[in-house]
Amino acid sequence: MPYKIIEKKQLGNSDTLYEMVLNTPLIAKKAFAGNFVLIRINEKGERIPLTIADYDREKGTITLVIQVIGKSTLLLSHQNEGDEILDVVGPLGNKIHIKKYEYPIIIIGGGVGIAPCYPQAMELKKVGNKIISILGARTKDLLFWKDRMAAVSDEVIITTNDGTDGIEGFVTTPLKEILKKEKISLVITIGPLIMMKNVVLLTSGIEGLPKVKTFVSLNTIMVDGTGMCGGCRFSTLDGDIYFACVDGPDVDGHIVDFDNLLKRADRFVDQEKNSLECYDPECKALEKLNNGS
Amino acid sequence: MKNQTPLIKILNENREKILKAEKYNDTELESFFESLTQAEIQKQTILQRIKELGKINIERLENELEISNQDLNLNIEYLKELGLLKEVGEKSRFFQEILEKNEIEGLFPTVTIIRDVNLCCGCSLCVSICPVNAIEYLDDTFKINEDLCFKCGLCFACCPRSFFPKSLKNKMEDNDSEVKFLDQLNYYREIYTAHTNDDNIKEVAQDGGIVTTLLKTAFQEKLIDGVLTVGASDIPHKPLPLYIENEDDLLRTAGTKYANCPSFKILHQSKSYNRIAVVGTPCMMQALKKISFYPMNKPYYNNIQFKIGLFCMESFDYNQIVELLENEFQKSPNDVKKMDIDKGKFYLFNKDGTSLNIPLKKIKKYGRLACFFCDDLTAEHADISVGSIGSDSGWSTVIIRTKNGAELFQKAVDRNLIEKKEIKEENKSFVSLSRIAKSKQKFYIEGQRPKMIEQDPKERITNFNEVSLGIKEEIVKLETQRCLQCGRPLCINGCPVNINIPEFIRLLKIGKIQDALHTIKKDNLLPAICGRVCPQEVQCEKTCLLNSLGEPISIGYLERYLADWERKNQLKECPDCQTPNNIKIAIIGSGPSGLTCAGDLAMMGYDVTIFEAFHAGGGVLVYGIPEFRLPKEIVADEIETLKMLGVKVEYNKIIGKILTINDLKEMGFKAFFIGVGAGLPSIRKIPGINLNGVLTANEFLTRANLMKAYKFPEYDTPIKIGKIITVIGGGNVALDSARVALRLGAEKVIIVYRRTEAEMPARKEEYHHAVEEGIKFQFLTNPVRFLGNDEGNVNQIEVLKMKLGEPDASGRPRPIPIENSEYLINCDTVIIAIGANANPILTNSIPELKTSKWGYIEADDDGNTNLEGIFAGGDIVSGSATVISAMGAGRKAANAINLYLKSKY
Repeated sequence: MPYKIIEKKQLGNSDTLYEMVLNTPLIAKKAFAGNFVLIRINEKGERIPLTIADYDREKGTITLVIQVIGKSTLLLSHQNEGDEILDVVGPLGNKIHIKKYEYPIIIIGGGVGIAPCYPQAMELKKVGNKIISILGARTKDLLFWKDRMAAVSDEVIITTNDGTDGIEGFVTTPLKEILKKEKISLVITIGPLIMMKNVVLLTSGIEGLPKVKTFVSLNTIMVDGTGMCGGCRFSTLDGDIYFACVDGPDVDGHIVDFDNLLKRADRFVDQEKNSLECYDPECKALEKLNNGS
Repeated sequence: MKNQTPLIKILNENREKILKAEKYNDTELESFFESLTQAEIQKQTILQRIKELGKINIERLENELEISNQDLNLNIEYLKELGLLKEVGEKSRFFQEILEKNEIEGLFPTVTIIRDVNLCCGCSLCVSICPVNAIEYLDDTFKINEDLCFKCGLCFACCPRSFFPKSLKNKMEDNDSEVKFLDQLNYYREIYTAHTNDDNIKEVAQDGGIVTTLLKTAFQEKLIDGVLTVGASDIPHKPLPLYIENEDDLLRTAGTKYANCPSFKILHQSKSYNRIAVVGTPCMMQALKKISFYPMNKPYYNNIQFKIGLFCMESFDYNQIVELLENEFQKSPNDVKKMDIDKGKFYLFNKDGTSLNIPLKKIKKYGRLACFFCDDLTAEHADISVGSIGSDSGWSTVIIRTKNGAELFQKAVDRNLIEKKEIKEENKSFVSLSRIAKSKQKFYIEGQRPKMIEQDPKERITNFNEVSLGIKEEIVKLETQRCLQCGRPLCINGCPVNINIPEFIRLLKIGKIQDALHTIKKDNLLPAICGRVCPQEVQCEKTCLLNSLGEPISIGYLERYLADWERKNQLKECPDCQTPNNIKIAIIGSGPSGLTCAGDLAMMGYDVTIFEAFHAGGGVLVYGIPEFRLPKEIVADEIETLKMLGVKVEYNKIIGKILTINDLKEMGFKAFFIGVGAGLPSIRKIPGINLNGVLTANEFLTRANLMKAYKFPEYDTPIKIGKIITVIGGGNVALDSARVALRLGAEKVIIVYRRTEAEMPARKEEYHHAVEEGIKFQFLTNPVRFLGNDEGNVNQIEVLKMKLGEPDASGRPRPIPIENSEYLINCDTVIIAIGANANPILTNSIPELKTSKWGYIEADDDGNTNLEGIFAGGDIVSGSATVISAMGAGRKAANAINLYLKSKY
């Protein structure tokens, strides 16, 4: 029973970012902030995890945001409205815990990580939390959903590495400022591992800043997404093993061994290159992989 | 004494012990030792000469050593059995294999091993043979007092069931022109049908009263002064061995006893008599024949004057007789006057004058297992054999075999005690006798367990095609002929779903292939799968009686043959279903238990839907077991069969996530079967476990099998292995991982297992395949930590040597670390295959469902959980087990679900 693409659009001003709305009534019915799905595009496809970026229970749809980084995401970006995805499994992972916190919540999205911030901000906002969103990207063209995030935030701060939009620099720049002047109940951060690592460092109580509970969302390599394979496992600083798929994907960032995770994330880089090369030797994503970014 | 053989040595060492046992007095012991020494010296001489000459033919040896041909042959057979000589040629009937395994050196083992493989015929000769009275025969079995036994092995050497080469079986002592031979009857002179003329004997006798009359004659002619025979004990129908000393007492012993009688436990008492007659079953006659050859000059058996054998199809332990009377007739031995077998029926004559009967076939299952290994109906080694087969009621068939026997019979005739009519070869009686005798020899058809045709190891490690290709068509029938068709088939109990194995083999033998297949399918819907992945060697084949003689029937191969035959000929047919009743049942998980449960329920008419988390059905059959062991096409085929039955399969549906049990209830499902398996990998907190290149077998196998990563980059799922792969664990999953790694191009694959080869839980055949393919094994080794390079990739494992200790809860010896025995193994990939746990996704979504502390669902044998309408089975209940046991659980649950729904709707 394949899953139809109802809507597809390019995001930002980039040919590497896409938003897709899939017809998945049963998943939509249960989807919540924090959940993800595993998709397999066709018979020969791999199973890739994608966080659910929005859901419409009435229409029976979920929204996914895809950044082209390898063969499977490239192939996905080539699918169009009306096309069908062979397998969509979910909703997987734990829902985030929703409650009204005493002080504001900072939600930090980096790059494609902005998308999964949206449902979290939305659900937390619904119960009356004050939401400060920090959205970061390398450059203005890679920024998206500013308006959507604004709709569910009390304040939106933009950062770009090259200064083409908002504050020049990283998401940690405004974060540090806020932490200095304001009491914060919770930080949620979703994006590149290195970004999350730096956010977690900043909220761990260094430089006289207060220690703030920080959730990170781990989008690790997965096969089944149900706790079977252990490919997604991460280690805490104490050496305990957890599985991102069933213990996460949102976990307490202060216990995560990011250095280990950073190494684990790269373990199929050579195969990724090989796969892309065979599929489309000309593609830009391949260039990026070869440049090691 | 020079050149003491191990036997003489050990007997000499225990001289005091032997005298204390009082079986021999001083003089007797001396003569016993002397004769034994003579015999041993002869053996040593032969052995020595063969050693000097190397390869030698028997004629030359005979000339050089001036030993008679008969003695030479006997000694050579004996030395062969001792494992001291090897001869290319005829194999002895019993035990060659086991002896080789035991690595005996100059001494035989005790008869315990005979008993343990169900071969003991119950003659109890060993009790008499044992020089220190260490063997006690009670309640239809024997015990060895280990304190007394000094392991001389004489009991084994004399046991008729230890070894008995065919060349000796057919040896006659007094060969002359009057002797005839027929394969089924062995040597004989004349055959008569006869009855006694003695009215007293007639009254108590079973048939023609011949045995009692012959013994009476022998007493009257003063040819004997004692008879070793069977009398009645205090317990009704329980026989008691005893010596009769005069003709008057004979009448007490007349009539057949159906319970086995261990007569030879008092054989050594025969030294109180000058000449005795022995009455007994064919196996007892074999025992006497055996000691006439082995292992020495008989110290007190020279006085056996007449051996009177009784025809025997099979005999019973006393408790088996009691069971038979109770189950088939609802009688106790007290009610019964006499039992008889006649014209294919078993008769019971009650004390109240009534009689009952049942077909012989029905009593077969009560018989002694050891009787299946007997090919002797007519007591081929007696002087005279007597029985009812071939004669009319009131008459007995008498086979005169030896000159000695002929003379005794003639004397009885001369005294007008016996009336006789000759049975000639052309007579109907003769034909029927030899036909029945032949039927008892049926399982001695020469044949060996067939070999599986396999892809060459060098070839197969380069592909993922199936390793085992089936057995040769022409061998199938031969193999079915090896089946004993036991009355009490243990194989059925060995099978977790109790397939009627003897019946399917019988049908296959007579060419009813389709019927044979149906017989399997009555209990097992998935024979193509089970024929491939069941560990038959610890289930059905383990209990096969043929293990006692050599190798069991290849039940798994035959099952697979039938399933493949059906596939090949595209004969798959939709099993009959009952009329749809539109009651909806949800099966959660499409592994072996779910598939079986779904199939059974669909056939009962239910509306069944399977919910599967993955995009393909089969559970562990598709994600765990590799293509080369179980082609996925076969699994898909079986699922197609279910679809033909109307079963619906919903893929990508993780129950507990996308839908809960309550959702399903709202959708109209009335009952649920949970068969979600034990899919969570066991990961221990070992330093370095999160290094790149350390992965679970689940991940490795799921990538390779389900996602077809072995076809990367044609398929998108990557897999990475490097050159040297280490697999931790000793089960099928470990072997599967290792062999997949090899096929993916690994240069070296090492399995690290903390116990030894013997404790490996893996299927034996898979282990052999792995060895053939060049997988290396490091037993008694356990990982301590994984070491990596700067990039975070594993490059070494530190391991610790282990030794085996006392058995743990699993019954296997506990591995104990040896201190300071650490060493390093270089490797690029480590695959962890140390077991699986329950996946909590579903159970967490039903908090009221009772689970164990390890997360397994608590369910009874029929799959009932603590919640109404919710059933469970397979690994999620039992923990990791086999495909077939999960199927068994699925089947039981299907029946329980049916009962539950029938009671409600």
